[in-house]
Amino acid sequence: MNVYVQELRFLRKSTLIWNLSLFLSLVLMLLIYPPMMEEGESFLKVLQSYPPEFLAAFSINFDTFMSFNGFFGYIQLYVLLALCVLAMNLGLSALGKEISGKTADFILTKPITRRRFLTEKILSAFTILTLTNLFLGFTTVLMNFLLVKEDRNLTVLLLIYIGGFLIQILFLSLGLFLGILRKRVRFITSLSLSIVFIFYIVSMLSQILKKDFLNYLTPFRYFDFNQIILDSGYEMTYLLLSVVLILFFTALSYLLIQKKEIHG
Amino acid sequence: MNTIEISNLSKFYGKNRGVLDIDLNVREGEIFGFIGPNGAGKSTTIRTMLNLISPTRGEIRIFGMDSVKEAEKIAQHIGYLPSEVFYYDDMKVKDLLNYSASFYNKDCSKRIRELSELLELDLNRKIEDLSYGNRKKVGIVQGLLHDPKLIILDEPTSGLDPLMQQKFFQLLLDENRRGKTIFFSSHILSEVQKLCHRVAIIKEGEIIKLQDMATLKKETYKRFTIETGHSLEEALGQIEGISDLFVSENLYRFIYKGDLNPITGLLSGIHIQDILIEEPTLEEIFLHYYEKEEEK
Repeated sequence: MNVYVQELRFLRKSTLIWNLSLFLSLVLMLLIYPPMMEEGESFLKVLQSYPPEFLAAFSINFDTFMSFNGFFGYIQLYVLLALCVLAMNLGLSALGKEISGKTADFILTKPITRRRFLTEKILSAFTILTLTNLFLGFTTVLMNFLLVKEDRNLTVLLLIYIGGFLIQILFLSLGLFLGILRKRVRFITSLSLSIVFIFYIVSMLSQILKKDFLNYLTPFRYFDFNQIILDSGYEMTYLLLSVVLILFFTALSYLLIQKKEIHG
Repeated sequence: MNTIEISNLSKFYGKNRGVLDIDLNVREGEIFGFIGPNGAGKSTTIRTMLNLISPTRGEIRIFGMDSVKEAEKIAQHIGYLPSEVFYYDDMKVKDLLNYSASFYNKDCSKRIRELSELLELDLNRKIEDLSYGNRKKVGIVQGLLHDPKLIILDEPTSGLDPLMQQKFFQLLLDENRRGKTIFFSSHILSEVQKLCHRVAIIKEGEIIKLQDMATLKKETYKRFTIETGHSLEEALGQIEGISDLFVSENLYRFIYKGDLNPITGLLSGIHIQDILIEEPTLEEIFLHYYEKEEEK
């Protein structure tokens, strides 16, 4: 497990920065909730004055928005965007960074199979995403206890986090696949940002245009937080689709890395 | 017994030739030179041996094992120093070497200390703060720390100062005396002449000559540049071993292989304005081999 351990060492600083930034963003955004509740009626009126397309694009649902979980679901979409960029970064850099940094010569001439190398890289990325989600999850629960006395549904919070986590794993597997497929990956963060935001824009379009087929094209529609709050569960089709896509991209990555040519 | 057996190896990058039909055996315990100009296919051959790239056809067996199917087992006993060394910049040298050692099931700490002291390498510095020469030293230590049976070196001396090159050559000779096989790729003929027992010459992806170093040394080439008012063209044309003769007014330039006395005998009776006798470039020697191959 030396690649796994070393990878965690390499990523500890950036993980700490990501966690602190997301923690601060989450806490600051959740702190808006109590004053917003106090001005509930007038706030809703303001929101209602916006065009429905605008509200749909930003996943604002009047049935859920004023509850803690609804407000959190709205905020979580933006936290999730950042987490997906992180997941995509981790996936793209698993092999892509070794190739662009030309350290692949060093690591892939060691007595380690490419499969094991990839497995340890995936495990390290998985560990980082899990720890980050757990940290943010506990922060959210803590904030829930601090900010509201009633209106507490931790199961829904858990479902939102697990849904978001699956979307991140999907981006991780897509990143892995692209990082191995491409000859060289340069500007990893820019590429991650572009890919994640393209999917997010497709998600906004699907909300505005009300075209169901667009939902299948973007992972951000697989776990609709408003739907989770209302139904306390997932839509099975999208859950299965996300699992199938994760397995598909991961399996392709394992196949491709065996044949990957490492040029000097 | 052969440590490396390369049979009918070809590698193409799309339509571009990497190497073509290479057949090569490296015997256990020898220092084998692999020499050729840049772009000849040296690194392609090495990268195929290390399973970094796959052969288009043919096969490589190292320690009797298939280089693709049993790459992990083979890597256990290989030390590799690439022509350009790249490591993780934010690591300290000692951390990188310990990381490298962690792939082998043995304690490499003593060897790391010995090699670092020999090469005067500061283990506590960060990789990003090292000069290119010092990075190369890190490469040497990481390639040798696990006591590999086969050492593969791809243009290893670039970036090392002459004193360090000497130390490095001595280190390689010591390793060889301890039974290690060394595959030494270079485009500098004199390095290969100093170290190797046998040498293969590769040009444009094909092996054009494979011979003992003793034989290669006998075939010592010199490039003569002579400035004289006398006409030498006819006399030089009669001396065997002269090639690439170039004549311009008072200037005669040619490559000569063989006994020097016929040349010195010819020059002793005439007035010479200037004379330069030097090692021909590798390109010139290759060109010579290449032309001979084409004549065949």
